Amino acid sequence: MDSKITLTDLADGLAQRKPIQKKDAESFIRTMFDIIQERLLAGESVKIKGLGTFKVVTVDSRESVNVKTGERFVIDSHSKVTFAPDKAMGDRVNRPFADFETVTLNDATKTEDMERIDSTVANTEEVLAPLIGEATEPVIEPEQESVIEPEPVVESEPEPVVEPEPEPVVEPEPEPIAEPEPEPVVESEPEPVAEPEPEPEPEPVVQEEPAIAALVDTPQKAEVGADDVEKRSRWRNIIFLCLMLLLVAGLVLFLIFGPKGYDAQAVEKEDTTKVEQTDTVAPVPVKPAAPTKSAEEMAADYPQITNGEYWIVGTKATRVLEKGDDLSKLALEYYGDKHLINYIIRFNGFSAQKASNLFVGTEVKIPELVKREQ
Amino acid sequence: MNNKEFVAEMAERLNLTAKEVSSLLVGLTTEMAERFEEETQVSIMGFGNFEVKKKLERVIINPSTKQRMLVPPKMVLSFKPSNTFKDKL
Repeated sequence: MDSKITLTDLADGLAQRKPIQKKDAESFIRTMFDIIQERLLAGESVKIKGLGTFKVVTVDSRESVNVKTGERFVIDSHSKVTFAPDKAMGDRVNRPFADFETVTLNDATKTEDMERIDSTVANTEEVLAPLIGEATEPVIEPEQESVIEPEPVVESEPEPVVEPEPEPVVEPEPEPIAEPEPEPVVESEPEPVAEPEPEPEPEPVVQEEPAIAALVDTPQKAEVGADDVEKRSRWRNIIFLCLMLLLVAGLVLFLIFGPKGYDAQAVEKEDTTKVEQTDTVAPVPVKPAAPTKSAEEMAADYPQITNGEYWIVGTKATRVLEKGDDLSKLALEYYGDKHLINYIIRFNGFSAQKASNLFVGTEVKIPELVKREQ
Repeated sequence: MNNKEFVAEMAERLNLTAKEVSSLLVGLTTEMAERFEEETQVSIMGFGNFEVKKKLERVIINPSTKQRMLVPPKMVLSFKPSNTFKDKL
């Protein structure tokens, strides 16, 4: 309805709505716009409730180009009237589209990839942090005095790690500290398979260390006992720093020299640590678990029968149906069990109706079945 | 000039009470709104044209966040002053 109405039509409408003569309605509307115009000409803005706001805006002079001739010319500064509809009026006019909202579009996939990488990095850091925290905390908490002792040891550690023999007494303590932390790190990321033996150490060593340290260090405690609490907290910070450094150093050394050097020490400590070693075997069973998963993983690519006895892991054969062929016969032929017909039906995606009405010449895939473990 | 001043001036010129003016004003604006809903163009001689324009949907980019936003289509009431009015400015 792109019709056009005038002031008189408006007056008609108004006269119908309100108890007013049409003539009066006309004069009312005319007066209204007269006032608006007068005020605008006076440079004022006029706000009318239910309609909107009229304003006069001055436009700066600007240079433009005559499209036909290409000549430049100046548009003088001038005033112009702007109108901004009232909220109520705007909403009412826009009612057909009121349900739409501005939507934020997804960015290109690039940024999503970047975010994903960031999050994974963050995750690994988060994962590492607790490992380090767990490893270091037990050392600090149980006996603060014993904690203080490792420091001198810590400084000398980088070398003892390289050369396990020089100081038999001192080494057992520093090395275990170095080992427990670097190993979990190493295990989690680079080569889990590489060091099955060192793994057991982290926990047992940490627990026993304080005890050993306490025994060995009792003489030192007397000296240390004089230290203030502040010093201890400082010590803790230093210890933590040293441990972090050790971690890095140990990691590097470990990567360079490989598990060999540790194996000897590890064996010695295993004797002392005893119990936990059995637990350490755990990583080994994880590996055999992989092949069993593979059947399931392979099965993931194919349709499966829920709670079935077998996994469908591939295509064993394809058969073009001949006269007299029957899916249950095929099941009997390939599996020795006609009840496995369901797997053939599922694998080919036949509906129950279609399965009972197959035509000669239909190609039927026979699935490769692997017995499920549970 | 706000609505209150406007109503007062109207009342003075037409020898009406402010109440009557605002009542008539409501009647007029609802009348106009209904016309606009029918996408009717309202032209006031010597003042200008009111017209409802359809705006297509479009994509905008927030320059600070680089976010792309889809703005839905909408209907906007626009006003274009008449030439006589423009000449007076």
